[in-house]
Amino acid sequence: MTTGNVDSVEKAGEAGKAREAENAEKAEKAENAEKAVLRSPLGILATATATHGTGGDDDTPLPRLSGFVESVFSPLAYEVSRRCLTERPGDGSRTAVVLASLQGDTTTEDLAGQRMVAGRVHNPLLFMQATANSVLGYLSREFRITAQMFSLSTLDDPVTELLAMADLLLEDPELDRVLVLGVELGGGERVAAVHRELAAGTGRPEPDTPASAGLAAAVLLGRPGAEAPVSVRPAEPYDVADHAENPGAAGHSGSIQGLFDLAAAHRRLLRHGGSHLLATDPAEWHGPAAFTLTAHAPGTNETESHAHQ
Amino acid sequence: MSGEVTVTGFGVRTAFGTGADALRRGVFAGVPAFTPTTRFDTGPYRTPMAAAAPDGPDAVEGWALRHALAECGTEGLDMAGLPSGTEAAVLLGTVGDTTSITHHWQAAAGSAPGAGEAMERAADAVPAHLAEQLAGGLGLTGPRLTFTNACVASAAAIIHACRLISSGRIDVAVCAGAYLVEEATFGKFDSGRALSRDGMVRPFSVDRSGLLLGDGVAVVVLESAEHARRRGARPLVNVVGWGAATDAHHIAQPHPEGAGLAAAARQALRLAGDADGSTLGYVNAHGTGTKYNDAAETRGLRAAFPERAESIPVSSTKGTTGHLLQAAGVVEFVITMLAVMDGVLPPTAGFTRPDPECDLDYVPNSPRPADLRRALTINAAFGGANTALVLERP
Repeated sequence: MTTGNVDSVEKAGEAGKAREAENAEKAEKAENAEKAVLRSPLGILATATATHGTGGDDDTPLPRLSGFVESVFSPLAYEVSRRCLTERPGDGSRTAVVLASLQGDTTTEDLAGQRMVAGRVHNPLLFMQATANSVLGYLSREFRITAQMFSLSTLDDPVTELLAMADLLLEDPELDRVLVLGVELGGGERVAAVHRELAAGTGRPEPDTPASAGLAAAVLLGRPGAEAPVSVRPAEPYDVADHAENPGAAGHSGSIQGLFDLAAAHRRLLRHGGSHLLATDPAEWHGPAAFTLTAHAPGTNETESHAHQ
Repeated sequence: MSGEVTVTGFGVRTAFGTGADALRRGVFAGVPAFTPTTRFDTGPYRTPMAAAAPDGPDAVEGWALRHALAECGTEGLDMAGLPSGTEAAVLLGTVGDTTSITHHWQAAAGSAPGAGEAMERAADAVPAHLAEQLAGGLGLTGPRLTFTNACVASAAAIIHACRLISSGRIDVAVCAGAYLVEEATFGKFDSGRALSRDGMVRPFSVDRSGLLLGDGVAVVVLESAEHARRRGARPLVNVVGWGAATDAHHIAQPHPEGAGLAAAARQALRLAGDADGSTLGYVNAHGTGTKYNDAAETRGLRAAFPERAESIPVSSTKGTTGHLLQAAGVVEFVITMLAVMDGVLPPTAGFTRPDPECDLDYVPNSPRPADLRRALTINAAFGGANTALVLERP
């Protein structure tokens, strides 16, 4: 009896401890879920990449946009957006757009700055196109996008920020899709000086993009489902731990290489199926984030691990 | 909305000086702050006028934007009673310190007085770098993100903070915006013939001829109401609605019917549980003083709350502060907050004669007492971006 009681007490105590542990685990999971970059999986509806002046295979002729001159920033942004929105047309009143670019249109800014210092008359076209809002306005008119549009600058990996932004926006019942894109220009001596200053003491590299080159990548995201044969979700901790043992080299501040990697993985998964681990550069305020892309269409069971660099 | 959002602190600086009392003496008294600026040679431009504070020891030629943000941030956190080390998101609206770009090219041309300094602060041109500097200087841990979408940038930062807090992702966000008058942007607006011809900004008046630029820096501390209650912080106002929408019309001009602005306002009001705007007692308009904007905005407000538009006082405070560009959203948020807290509507300064296309109650030239429960603040930007925020007295 006593033993039994003791046993019961002990069992009760053990059960209590187990419940406490379970509750603590649940609380931790809940807290982690709240702090996770993504609360819900996202469906990848389309991806597109374009480069200009890099000498690489992705280099593509860019569209001429009425009212935009001298810089490839806006044509690149428009081109990758156009491809996604044309491939997967949808309701523009339920489509948000988020553009990330560390420094924005440096070509336009530097051209305007040089003209001003030289005492030359300001060019009103450079005024019109100086902000990323302008090309977003152009895009919105072409595709009748009337939902919200944002542009961002982040020193961290834009993949993490853009997916987090899409996750947050798609909690809004008035939105179905979020087009996220990144644009990066090579830039001249001033942009190089900026990167030298940003990289100093961080161990991060400086970009090696040619001065006149530009890169852009876009991903059209929605809620997961039949229309999105590939989904993206936060990676399981053990996948991240495996990856942490062999992390890839960090990219330069604000590099959009991760978006290119995401787009390449998406293309591969559409062809072959399987899943893909995409790890992002660690941010100042949190560690590295990692995402798993999974193809839901029949295909091979390919699993890859890849850190973008 | 799962969590209420409240404001517990702010810091603000305009051409009138630092702090709320400077705004009360200037903006709320309807005093325009425009003078010929001496920060750069205005000879090549159509006007020398701007609402720029007299240059002090941290003038534009130094690290002004960074210093001003740090100063307002410290003031905001002190008011909120939050210590260094607080876990808070830092969400900034800026396109970077463009003076560092100008100085770089001046140095390259051999015409800069401080070429070495210009090269040392090249990174201040990067918008995200300023957010890092602000977060680091205030000792805040948490996510940092910079919004660069022109004249709605800092309003977008506040909207993002509201979403993060109301969804339970974070408890505290420090939202900021900064613009100080400088030549590169001044020259661009001059080239676009957007600057006022008569040295004044006259929002909604028939003789309005354009905008003038102004200094503006502000920081607001947003917090979940529960978090503020737990630590005994006093809520100054609550943010009960927010919205953002796009015109889909033009890269630089607003939709003539104010379509995106109306959509953003309707969205914010729906979230505030007041679809027809019946609880609104004031609208702080974008009101730039340009022909295009003010008429379109008037039509947009009529479309947003057709039954109520004529009975809600609307004012633009840009007739006193000038256009603060990326800082407009957050500074006008602070002005709207003061209107709710003080029960006084800031006037539309510089108003002369009504325009048939602008036919609402614009609170012309003199402040007006009002017992406000809720107020709406609106901003618009290049590319047809529009934002709306609804503030409520606690």
